[in-house]
Amino acid sequence: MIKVGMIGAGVMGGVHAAAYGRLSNAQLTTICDLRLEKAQKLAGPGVKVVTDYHEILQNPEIDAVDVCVPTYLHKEIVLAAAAAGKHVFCEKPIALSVEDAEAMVQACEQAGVKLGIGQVVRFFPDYAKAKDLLASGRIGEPKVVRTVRGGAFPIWSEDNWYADFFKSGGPIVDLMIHDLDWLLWLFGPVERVFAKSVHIPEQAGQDPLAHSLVTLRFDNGIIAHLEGSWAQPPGSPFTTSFEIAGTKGLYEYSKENSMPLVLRTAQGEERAKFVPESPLALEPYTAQIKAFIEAVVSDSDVPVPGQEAINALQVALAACQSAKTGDVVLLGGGQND
Amino acid sequence: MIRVGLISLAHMHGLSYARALQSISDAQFVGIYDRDVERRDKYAKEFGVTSFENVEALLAEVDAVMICSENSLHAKYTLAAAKAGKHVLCEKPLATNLDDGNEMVRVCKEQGVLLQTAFPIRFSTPVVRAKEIIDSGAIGKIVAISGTNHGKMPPGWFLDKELAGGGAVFDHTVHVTDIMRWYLGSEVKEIYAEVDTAIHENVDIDDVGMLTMEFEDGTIATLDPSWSRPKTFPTWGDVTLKIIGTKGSLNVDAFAQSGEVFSDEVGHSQYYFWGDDADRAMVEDFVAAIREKREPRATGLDGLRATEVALAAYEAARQLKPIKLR
Repeated sequence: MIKVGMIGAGVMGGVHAAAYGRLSNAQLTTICDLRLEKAQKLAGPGVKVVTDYHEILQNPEIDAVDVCVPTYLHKEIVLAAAAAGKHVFCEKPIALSVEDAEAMVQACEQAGVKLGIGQVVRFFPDYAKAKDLLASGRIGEPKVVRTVRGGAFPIWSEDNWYADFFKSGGPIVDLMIHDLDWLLWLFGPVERVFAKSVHIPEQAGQDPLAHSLVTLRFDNGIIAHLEGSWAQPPGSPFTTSFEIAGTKGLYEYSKENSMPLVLRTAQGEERAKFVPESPLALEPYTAQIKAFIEAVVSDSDVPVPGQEAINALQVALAACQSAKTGDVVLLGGGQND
Repeated sequence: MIRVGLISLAHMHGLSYARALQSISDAQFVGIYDRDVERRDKYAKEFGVTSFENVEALLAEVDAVMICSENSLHAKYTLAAAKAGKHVLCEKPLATNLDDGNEMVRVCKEQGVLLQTAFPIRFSTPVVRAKEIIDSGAIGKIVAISGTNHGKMPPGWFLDKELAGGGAVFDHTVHVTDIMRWYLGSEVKEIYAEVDTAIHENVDIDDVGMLTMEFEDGTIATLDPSWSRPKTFPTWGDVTLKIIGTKGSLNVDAFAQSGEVFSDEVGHSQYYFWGDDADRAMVEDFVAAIREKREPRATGLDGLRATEVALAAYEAARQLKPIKLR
C-alpha cells in the first residue's frame, strides 16, 4: 500500500481525492491546502489535513506526493518533494517553461524518485484506443489530423489564476497540451509550428476570452490543426473532438456525440437540466493514478514521464511564440531524442 | 425573359445550375456549348436545348452565360461573353492566376456586363441565417473562425494542374474564404499554409492543406480545404465554420440538414440532404440581378479576392512563412 500526501485541494485535487477512494493499491493519508476548509472538504475518515506542505514532505510514512497546485507553483513543490525523497505525481502542464520542467525532471532523477505527469488524455479510452485503430491499418497512414478542446473560460480557479497567463500559460499551455501530448505520443516529433491566438482580458461583467488555433507539421509529414478554446460563453459545456484522415479512411470522434447516458430532470418550476454522462469501469483519472502507483510499487517506468511532458510543453511554447511573433517556429524535429 | 446559355459541363455543378435555371419562370435555358462534343450533345438532348458548335453561336442567342468549364478556361470564355455584351456567372475559382482574374473583372466592368462568381454557399439558408445572427450583434465582434471545406478527391481534370490551377487548396479554399470575408466585411491581410500531396497515390497535385489567416480587422481564422474524405464517407464533404465572438459563439454547418441512410445497395452509410437548394437560389440571384440591373450577391471581385487567398496559400507553403496580401 503506497501512502500518498496530496498538495492542493482545488478542482483537480477533488478529482484525485475521489480517485484514491477507488484505488486499493494507494491510500491518501494527508491533504494540504492553504485554505484548510478546502482540504477538510476532501478529507475522508482518517485523512489528515494540513496547511503547510512541508508536513507532508517531513512525514516518513508518506511514499508519494500528488501535486495539484496551480501550474506556476509546480516547480517549487516538486523540487522540495524530490529532496525529501518522495515519489511525485504532478498535474499537467508539468511547468510553464522548459527550464523549470527540466529542473524538476533532473531533481527527481538525482533523488531516485519517480516523476509522473498527469497527461490524463492517454488514459481516456476515446483517445488512447485511437492508437490501436491506427495500428490496425483500417484508415491507412494518418495524414491530416484535427483536434478540438474547449468550452467556457475556467472561472472556478482561486483568484482566477487561469486568467493570468503568466500563471496558467493560457489555453495552449494549459488546455491544448492535452492534445499535443496525445499527438506526440501517436505521431512523434514536430518539425514546425504556426499559431494564432486571441486573448481578450477580463472586462467588467465579462469573463476573459482566449482562443487559439495551431497548425503543426510533424517530422513524418503529418499536418495537424488544433483548436483550444476558453472563449465559449459562460456555462457552455466542455467539448472535445478529433478526426484523423488517413490514406485509406477517416476516423471521426466527438465527445458530445458519444454520450451513452443523458439524464434530464426538473425540480419544481425550474427548466429541465441535461446531464450527459459517459461511465467507465475505470474512470480515466483513477486509471492514471493507478498506473503511476503501480510503477512506484514495481519500480518500472511511469506512464507519462517528465521528459515526455517536456516534449509537449516545448511544442506548446513554440505555438505561443508563433502566436506572439507571427512567424513559423521551427523545432527541427528530434525533440523526442 | 432572360435567355441563358451554359458554357461547358466540365464542372458537373453545371448540371445543377442548368436544372435550377429551368425551374425559374423568367429565365430560358437556351443551350449548351462544350468543347467535349459528346457531353454537349448528351446534355443538350437531356435538357431539350440547343447544342451549339462554338461559343460564338451560343453567344449570339443569349443574354447571359453560366461558365462551368475547367478553371483555366474561365478567363477565355468570360472575356468572349463580356465582349459580346453578355452577363456571366462563372464557376469558382474565378481564374487560375491573378492576371486572368483582374482582366475578367476589368473587361466585364468596361462592357457593362454583370460578373458573378458561383459561390452557392452564400445562398445556403443556414449560412445566410448565420449572417443575420452575426449582423444582429448577438455574438459581439467576431475574433476567430475555424472553417472546413473537406471533400473527396475529384476525378479527371481537377487533378491536372494546367486545367485546374491547383488541387484541394485551390478548389476548396475559395468557398469558405468567401463566407469569412462576407461575414467579417474585411479582407485577408496575411496567410500561412501547409500544403501537401499526402492522401492519394499517383496524384500530381495537392490533396491536403491547412490555412491560417489574419484579416484586416484582426480576426484570426483557419481553414482546412483537404480532400481528406474517403470514398466511403457518407457525403461529398462539408462546409463548416466555428465562429467565436466577444459575446458568444456560432457554429455553422451548411449541410447538417440531412438524415442518415443505410443501404445494402450502396454498401456504406450516406447522408441524405433535405435542406434548401442553394444552387437554385444562386441562379435565381443571377437572373434577378440581370433583370434588376444590380450587383449579384457574390461578384467577380469577390471571386478574385478568394482566388488571391488561395494563390497566396501556395506561396506561403513554398516559402514556409506567412505572406502579406495587403
